[in-house]
Amino acid sequence: MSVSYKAVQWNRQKLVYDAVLLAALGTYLVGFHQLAPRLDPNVEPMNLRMRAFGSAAFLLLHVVLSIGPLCRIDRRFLPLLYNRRHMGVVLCGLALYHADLALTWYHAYGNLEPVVSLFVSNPAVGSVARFPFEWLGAGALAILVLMAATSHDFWLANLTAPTWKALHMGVYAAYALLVGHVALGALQTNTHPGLTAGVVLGALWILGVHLVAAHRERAADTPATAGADGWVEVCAVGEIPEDRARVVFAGGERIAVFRYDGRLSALSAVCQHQNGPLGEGRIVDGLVTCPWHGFQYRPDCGAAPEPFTEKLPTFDLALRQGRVWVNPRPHPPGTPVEPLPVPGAPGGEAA
Amino acid sequence: MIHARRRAHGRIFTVLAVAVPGALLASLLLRPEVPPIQGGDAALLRADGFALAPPTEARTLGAAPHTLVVESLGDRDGRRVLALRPEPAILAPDVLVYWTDADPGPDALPTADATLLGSLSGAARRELLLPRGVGPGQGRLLLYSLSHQEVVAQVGLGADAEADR
Repeated sequence: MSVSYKAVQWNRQKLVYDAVLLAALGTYLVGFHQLAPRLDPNVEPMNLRMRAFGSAAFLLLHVVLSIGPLCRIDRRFLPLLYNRRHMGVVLCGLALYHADLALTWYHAYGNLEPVVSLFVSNPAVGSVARFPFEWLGAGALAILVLMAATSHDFWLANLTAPTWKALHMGVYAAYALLVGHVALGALQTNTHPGLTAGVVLGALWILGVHLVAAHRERAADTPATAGADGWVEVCAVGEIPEDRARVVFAGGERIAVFRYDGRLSALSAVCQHQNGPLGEGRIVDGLVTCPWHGFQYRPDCGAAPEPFTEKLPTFDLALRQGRVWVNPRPHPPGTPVEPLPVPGAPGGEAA
Repeated sequence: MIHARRRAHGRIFTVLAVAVPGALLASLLLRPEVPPIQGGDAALLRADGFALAPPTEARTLGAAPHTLVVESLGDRDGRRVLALRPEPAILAPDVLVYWTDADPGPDALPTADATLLGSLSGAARRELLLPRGVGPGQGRLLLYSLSHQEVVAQVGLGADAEADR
């Protein structure tokens, strides 16, 4: 991969993903425009559109925020993660249109610039019912725009994955701001129990799945006990499935020990693309393949196949009384390490 | 994610697990009791003096450009109720409606014995209660612009009243 800009590289999966996303979104917006006037016959067309796009953005944010932890809990959700960034960009578009409608409807016809009017027309910060909830929405929108603008791999490569990830964790702040935006805005005037229940259940869901995922991650990050020589025991050889890995936390990060073709190799379990969980990937065509976006690496040296240039740190392995041990001191990224033969396995050593 | 980000994620959601439900709960508990205005719920409009009863037989009193469409809505608590609708819409700001039994003369401001009945604006149809004991056709209304501090119009309530000035 190059750090120079390349337009989105479409493939069949991305096209299907986006088609399903846009179809679902169109169905929701049309359904909202059909159903809402029946529940509230006096709703203004402008308000109707504003609510349709605002609620669509809020719902889509719940979907976006659910995908990550669901993938940690159950691998069957991984296809949803593949093109999640497009979902985020669509979400940003919905939120921008909602904000544009609100600015036009409530702030465009005064003697102030609409954006200025938004921030100065309501100073009632001490009131719950009259709190300027629009400020919270504007803050969330700023984060969403920043994330959408930097969502391309160009920014990912230039900022590096850890920095890019840290930037995009701003979505959690955006979510908190948007819950406040809805709670102090729509929920103050619309007391329908269905709306209140929807927002509360949505918050409980998001918090619940993220806390469960965080708990699992914390458990997986328990440091392994090192031997006297500093090496760390991973597991028995037979516990590593063919073309899969066992992951151990040592030396401050996760190490994945892959078994393939009767051999064992150890790599950093952090994909160079988006820092995905490489240890949960598998060997495809002889290459370690990340479950998130399919980035691949040679198991014996951690280098991506030509023409790609990503490289992972590698680790030394040893077999001691039928158990696999790893040295947590990494070799520089891309350093070849002789794979460890598995005794008795085809392609490995005799038992 | 790298370990530092995983740890940050766990900490962020520990904070959010307290902050988000707390903020939601507070916003719901402190939610005002005033119901949202619904199509069929006119309590707030009625409380603000807007006449919501269907229009009845009306008289147009006064002289152009400030005529009033006046309806008698019967008695309430021993006081006569009128529905007033400016026709055409009043363009003066902050118009107060006074009732007086005296003839203050052209352009005279409401005197101390004039009774403030309420306000009018635009072409809104408002309900106003006359002072207790005022009979049909008795007295006159003064439309006074508070901002301009001048009487916009005088309208006699008598059956033969023309107006007026």
